[in-house]
Amino acid sequence: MNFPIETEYLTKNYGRVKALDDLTFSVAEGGVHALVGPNGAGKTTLIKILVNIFHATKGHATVLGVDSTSISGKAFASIGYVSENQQLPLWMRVGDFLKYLRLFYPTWDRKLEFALVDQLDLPVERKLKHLSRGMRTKAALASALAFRPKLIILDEPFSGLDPVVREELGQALVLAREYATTLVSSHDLAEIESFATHLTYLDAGRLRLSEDVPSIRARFREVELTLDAPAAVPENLPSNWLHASASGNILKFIDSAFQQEALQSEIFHRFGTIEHAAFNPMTIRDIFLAVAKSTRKPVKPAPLP
Amino acid sequence: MKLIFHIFKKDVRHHWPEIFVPLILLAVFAWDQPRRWAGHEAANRFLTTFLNAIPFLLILAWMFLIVRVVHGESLVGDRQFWTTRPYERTKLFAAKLLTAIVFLNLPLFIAQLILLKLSFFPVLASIPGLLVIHLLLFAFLVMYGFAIGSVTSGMGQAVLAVLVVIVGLIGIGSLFAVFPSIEFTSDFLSGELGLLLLAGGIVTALVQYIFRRTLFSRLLFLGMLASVAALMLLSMSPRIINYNLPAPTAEHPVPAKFSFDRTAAFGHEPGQKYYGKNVELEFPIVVEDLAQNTVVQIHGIKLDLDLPTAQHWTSGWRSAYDSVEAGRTRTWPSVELPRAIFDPVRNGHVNARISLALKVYRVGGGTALSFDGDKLHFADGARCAIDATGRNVKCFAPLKGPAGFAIYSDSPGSECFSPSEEKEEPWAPLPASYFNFTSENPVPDPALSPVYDFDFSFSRRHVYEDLKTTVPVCPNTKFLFANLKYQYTTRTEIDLGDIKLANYLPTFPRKIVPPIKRPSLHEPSGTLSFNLLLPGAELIARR
Repeated sequence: MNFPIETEYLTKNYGRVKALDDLTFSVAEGGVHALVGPNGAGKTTLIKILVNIFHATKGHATVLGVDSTSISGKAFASIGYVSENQQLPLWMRVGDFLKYLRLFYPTWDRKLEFALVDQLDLPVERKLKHLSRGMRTKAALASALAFRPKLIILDEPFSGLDPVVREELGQALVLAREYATTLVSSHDLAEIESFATHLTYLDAGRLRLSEDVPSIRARFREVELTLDAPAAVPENLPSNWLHASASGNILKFIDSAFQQEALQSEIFHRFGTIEHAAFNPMTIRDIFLAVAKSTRKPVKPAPLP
Repeated sequence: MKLIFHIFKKDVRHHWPEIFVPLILLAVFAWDQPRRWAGHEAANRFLTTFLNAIPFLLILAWMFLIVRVVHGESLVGDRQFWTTRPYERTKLFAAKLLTAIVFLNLPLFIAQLILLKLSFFPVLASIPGLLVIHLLLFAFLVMYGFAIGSVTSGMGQAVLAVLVVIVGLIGIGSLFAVFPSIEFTSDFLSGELGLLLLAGGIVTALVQYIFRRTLFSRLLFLGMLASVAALMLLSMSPRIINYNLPAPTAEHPVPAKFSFDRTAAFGHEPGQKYYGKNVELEFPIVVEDLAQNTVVQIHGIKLDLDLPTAQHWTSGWRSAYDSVEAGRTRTWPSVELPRAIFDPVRNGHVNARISLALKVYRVGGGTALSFDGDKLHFADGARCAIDATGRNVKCFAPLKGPAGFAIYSDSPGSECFSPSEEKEEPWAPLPASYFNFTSENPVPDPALSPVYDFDFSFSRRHVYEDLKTTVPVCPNTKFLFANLKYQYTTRTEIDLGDIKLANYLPTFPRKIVPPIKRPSLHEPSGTLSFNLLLPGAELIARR
């Protein structure tokens, strides 16, 4: 399998702050790879290292087989990059902007350009400076898709956009799956859940999770056990049982490595016969909340005055 | 190439107002130049100020254009859309250069060709010189514009950078005022300093375009300016001054005997008062045994005083502006002294020495020339005319002025006289003369106008040789012209012995004691200048 993006022990420090910490991951060819994590997780830093805007403090990354520090000029003829805060030539009309960029890309597809303009409902006669933020992002996306890039990298493209625009951008990315691998970052999972095929979760510069969506969905279950007697959270639970809690006869936890037979056997081994066991599938959002909580230190309540 | 033109066309479309303004200014400049040559003045003061400011405004407008064009694809920051597009930075740089060449160098070049044509100077022969001017303009204006544009992200930052450069240059310039000795060492490093200044813009712009390391490029830019100042300060070491003003040798001797004239002084009236923080002293120095074909430029002076308090005071090397030529018997080099030093010892005796920095020139064979009416065809294709004052000759030359020359005239003569000045103080038995010590330079004057203008006038020394007066230049005036060829630089030290400083503080009105009797002039007076130039002059005199 080809990996358009690969990183090894990627570290980026800003003074004493570690924005990325020994990050090793890869993006498989095809699909829409979502890079999620809270604000400050290191998503933008990672993306800027991939497109050679920033340089890593340690480790290295390759993009389309090229070391990221060598990516410049012609290498961008295969990479479509859109960032939420990119400075566009605001004095240009949308049509002129697309026309200007045509010559830079040997693979620019005029039909696709017109289709994108149509699909994204772009006003070609208006200057970029007179467009709303959402419209500008759509114009940038059209310019990043019209040359059929092998790799699309989007940094928080949906930030602050209304749901209709998000939907339009999402549809454009779904269409782009035919020819491109997409890496899209967001701090809000709901924005990309509907079309992401792979998910990578970053927190405090560290990789917490990176898998394809069906496998994540299959791996996580919310388990609810009804015991014969009042339950207490046992000690030495398996490491894949997260957030265990007990209330009355009920014991709840999240299994992050769900395999029904193995789980049933483990439950029997620990609790003997139980009244009832429920293995509930989880939404992607709940899975990420569970992962996020499990990686954070518990917050001590402040002492009362 | 296609991409270069593509980016260029985009820049032209975007920056047309910035392109248009300097083109208009250039057109006004080209229109105004011939009017200036003809001595026309603008209708009102506002217009005069505006026309005088055109070269400055042009440079400002060009700088603004270059910075704006570079900012079109800013190299600073991490949010520019173009950095993640298939832009090749070499092509981007080439496109921006193309804009500068097409809208700065090319229109100026055309305007210069037109001005040369209008001034009847040879156009084709001047093209190589014009290209040199454009290379200099490119290195010192375009590339500095590129450097500033490439290390700044907006016009605010760029203006700040320009101010830093201006303050830096003023700072470097002020070193000359604070440390006058630098003038005598700057020659030593002038090549290195010139290269450093030349490289400042080019290297910064190239480094930023190739590597896009803004902080490094900014430090490099500031570092180069700082190195110029540092080099100039370092060059003030006595070793470098001694190297630049070497002691006389057998090969390069002091070209004349310079000695202090203890008999001459300023005749002070009791109770005379002086104002200001400094006083300027003038010392009578007798000049003897100067070779007939030699002119000596006194370009530096240093005064050393052994004060009664056992302290030593030195003025350091300072600029001096005098020259001595065959026939001269004395010179009065002057030097400034702080009142704090002068006042306590003014009437006491101090031991003093002065040192003179001397540039020795050989006078070439003379050529007899004369004005054709009030017009004159001069050296290196220059054309001159006597101006309305009748005492000044205004000249125009293509691209640069002539190299060093000396001119002698037996003015004022019987047909062209100036009796009023002579009544004040009689003339010395020397012809009226003018010396131009400009060294031979293959590089044209780096100015916007291809027509270089310069003036000269004839000055005649009065009997003490301390003062000179510009004498009239009359139509058909005859004069001798000779090239001055630089030979060497040396220095000489003159021991003044124990002197009373107050004696050398000029009086107002000037009164030198003892008075010198009116000398008798050679007859006929018209051969004075011919007697001073050998051997070519003799031939002319015999004609």
